[in-house]
Amino acid sequence: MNRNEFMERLEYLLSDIPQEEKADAIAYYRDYLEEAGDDVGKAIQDFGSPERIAAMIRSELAGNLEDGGEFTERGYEDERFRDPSYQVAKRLDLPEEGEKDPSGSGWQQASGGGFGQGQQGASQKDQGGGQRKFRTSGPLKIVLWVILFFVMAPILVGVGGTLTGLFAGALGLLVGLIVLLAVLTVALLLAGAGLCVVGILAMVHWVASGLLMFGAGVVVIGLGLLSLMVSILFYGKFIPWLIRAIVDALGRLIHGRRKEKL
Amino acid sequence: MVFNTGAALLDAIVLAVVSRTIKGTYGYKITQDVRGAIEISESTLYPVLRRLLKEDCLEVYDLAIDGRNRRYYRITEKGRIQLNLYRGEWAVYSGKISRILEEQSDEQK
Repeated sequence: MNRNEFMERLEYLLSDIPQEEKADAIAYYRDYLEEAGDDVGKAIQDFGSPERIAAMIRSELAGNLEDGGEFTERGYEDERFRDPSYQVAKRLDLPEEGEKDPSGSGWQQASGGGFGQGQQGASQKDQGGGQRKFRTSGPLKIVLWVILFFVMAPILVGVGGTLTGLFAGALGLLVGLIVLLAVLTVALLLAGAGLCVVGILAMVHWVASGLLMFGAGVVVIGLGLLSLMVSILFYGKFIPWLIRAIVDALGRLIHGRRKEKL
Repeated sequence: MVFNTGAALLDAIVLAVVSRTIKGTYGYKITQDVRGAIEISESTLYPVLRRLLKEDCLEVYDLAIDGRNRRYYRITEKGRIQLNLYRGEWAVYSGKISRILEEQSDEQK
């Protein structure tokens, strides 16, 4: 991969970050590769891949957003910093003593190569913080729920109406299908049997037309049996599956809401 | 390297490297200078420089060199204060470590 290919790829990979950040990063790496001169190949090799550089820039941006872009050394409080700089970091970090952060800062993740892990760690920490906050304040949670309910009431009415309508429509269709299948099956079987009986009776007088009727009756019974098979599949497999699916979906919805609330 | 370099130590090294020239220095040169002291990847320094910029420990200005702009990094007053703090802490810390490591080797003799 040469310099231009590398820069093009990096530019493409960074196309969704803020324009200013992107311009800064692109300028830095373009300058860097230009300064590298004859060592440009070695530099690109050391960069790893444009993907790696992009991930590093991205994780650093994410870290900044999380910290509000302030001078913070929370990231320095890391197990990995139990090394020559640990005491330095510790002393600079007195106000936040005791709070352990599982995620490293941007460059640490970069040198470790585990950007995804770092971000995961950060988001887990966020969740953990949230849970801690709400676990200690049950009444506050209820108040928040009530407020949420009142704020959301108008939207809920609208959305609820639409959903109810959709649900009723789907239910009607389902009931229609159930009834239709049952009626069709019974009707086909009865008609087939009737045709057979009439055919046999008719055979006494007119053999040919009686035979025809009997044949038609057998065919109709066959159709009825087919319909019966479909019904068995429909009532035995599809309906239970549908009910399970609905129950699962409701469960997920409730579970999801609970998680979102925490 | 056997020993890891923490974020604070890397900040200190970068600040020290940048502070060596009054008119400042540029990304590639900083990287090569830092690599003279510790093993880091060529790509590591961009986030560090960005962070130091955001913390107002460094400032940048563009200078036209060979018909194009080169971005120079220069240490700020805040950066100098921070660097002096790092220097003090490092002197105490490295002194203690050196002493304890050397004592051990004395006993083994």
